[in-house]
Amino acid sequence: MESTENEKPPVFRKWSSWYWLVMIVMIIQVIIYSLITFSFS
Amino acid sequence: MNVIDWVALFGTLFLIIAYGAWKTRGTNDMQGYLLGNRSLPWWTVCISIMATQASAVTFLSTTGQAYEDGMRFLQFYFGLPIAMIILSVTAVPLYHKLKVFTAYEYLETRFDRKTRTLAAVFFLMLRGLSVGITLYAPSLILSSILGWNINLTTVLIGIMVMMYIITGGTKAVSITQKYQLAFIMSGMIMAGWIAFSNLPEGISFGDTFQLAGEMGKLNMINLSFDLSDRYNIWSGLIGGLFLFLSYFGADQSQVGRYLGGSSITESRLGLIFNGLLKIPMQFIILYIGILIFVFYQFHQAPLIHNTALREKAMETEASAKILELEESYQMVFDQRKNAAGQLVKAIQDKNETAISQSKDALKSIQKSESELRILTKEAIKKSIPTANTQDKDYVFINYVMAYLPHGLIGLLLAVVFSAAMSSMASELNALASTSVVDIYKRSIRPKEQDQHYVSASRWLTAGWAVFAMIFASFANQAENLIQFVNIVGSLFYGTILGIFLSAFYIKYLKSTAVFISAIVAELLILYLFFYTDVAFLLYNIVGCLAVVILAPIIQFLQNKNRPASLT
Repeated sequence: MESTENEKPPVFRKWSSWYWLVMIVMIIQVIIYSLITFSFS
Repeated sequence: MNVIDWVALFGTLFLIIAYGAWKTRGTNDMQGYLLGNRSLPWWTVCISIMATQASAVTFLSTTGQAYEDGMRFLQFYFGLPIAMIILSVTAVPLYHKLKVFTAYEYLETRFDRKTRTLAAVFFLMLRGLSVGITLYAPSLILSSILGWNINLTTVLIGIMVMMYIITGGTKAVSITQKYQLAFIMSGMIMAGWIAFSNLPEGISFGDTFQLAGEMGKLNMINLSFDLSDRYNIWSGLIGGLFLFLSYFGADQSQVGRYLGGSSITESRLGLIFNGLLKIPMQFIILYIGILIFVFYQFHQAPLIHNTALREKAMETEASAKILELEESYQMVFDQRKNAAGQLVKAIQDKNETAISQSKDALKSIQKSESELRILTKEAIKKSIPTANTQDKDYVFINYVMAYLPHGLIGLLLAVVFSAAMSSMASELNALASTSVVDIYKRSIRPKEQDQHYVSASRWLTAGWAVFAMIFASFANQAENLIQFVNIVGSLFYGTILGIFLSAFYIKYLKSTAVFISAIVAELLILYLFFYTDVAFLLYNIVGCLAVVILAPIIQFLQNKNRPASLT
């Protein structure tokens, strides 16, 4: 099958939802790591 | 090491190689050999990307890094998820649409042959040298621990990698990597679990976390902006973003992994899941180092973790001094064990005053311990001036050899070999594909059959592997080779990224402007390297910005000087 740039992503309707997911997961991790770090300082 | 360990070690390695070779037998066309027939699902792409990035040194060094320096290294990866998003939007659809074999092939479509060749040559120079280190670093540690000859260990790993990559190409690399990574992570987690289960009775997993935190090891976030500090959130986000954009977007050893995806969707998902999983994976590896740190609060760690070096030093005049220092260390350890026990008790009782007191006592004892370690290293260095007394990389492997049961030792050593093999295989595969597709096929023998190029790829894989082995055998003559190779990488990465960013985002740029600006950027980097003290990590940003800023200026001047009839 020919691969096209507009391929529909699995699960979400748009690729941007996947990108948001990556960013949100990263931000949540940074918040958790910050809480851990600063609770000991 | 006993016979069970040897069987576990060689049995595991044989299974990996045989499985890769069997699953990919009869691969005879370029598409199949270099890109795995572009048939890989997203999860294989993702695992292959992760396994390529995680070499043996990653597992050995990262745990040692956490043991000595805490978890601040985690910040280095914060730019990675953003880089994955940018590449999913830009590079993946472009590379797929043009059906390229290598990233540099795209540059010819966008610009011309000379720009493609320039980027390919830059890549071959930096990757050719670093593959030698990918091989040398674990060989050095394993040869030291096992008492093998360093050159024999290097050749052994080199030949094993050659065997399975030559028989199966990219598909063999990707197929075996998914099992290798699962195997590597299981082995690491098992080692961490054994450290935890051997702690004194009554210490829970939460207590290890508290203890490490009180000792300053959970320093995962540093908000201060300091250019001289290698690991803070800003260097991770900004420096890391540039580094990972270059590494995943313009380094064929990674581009080759996601070009093997069966569609844009599969390649994109591979990168996206790498962005989701990489930081938690590094967290787990670092925390295993922390568990070993907690373990050594209650069990006596060697004064120097490179035990082979200690044995060597014991045959010199330094032996009396080392024995004397070890005697003092025994007393310090008894005090520390006691203080660590008191701190755990204070944590369990939630007694803040007692926590503060025991923490201060423990820190003061650790200071005396550090002094003893420095004195030991100085004594060794005095009697063996050529010795490298940095022993951080030996912490994990030395713990495995001393405290894991037989059978598991062999399996964990197979993990180290396996990690070395998986990242080296991707690098060799990338070197071979770039040499064949961008240089040999494009400029030397353009009109041969596919089978000829597959055969050339196999020969070049073997050639690069032999180069890596030769380079690795001379590696011990350099004072700090890993740093040397990082510098070589930084000398070229920025310029390569600048070329690719110009190609992706600045549509009106033509080849000559980019080619000239890339040469000027490279000369600027070389000037900075030879005549200034600028930190080498900054070369990545400087090289990239130089191309992206200079190219439009040159293009503007070119357009201005063009005869009016042509504009």
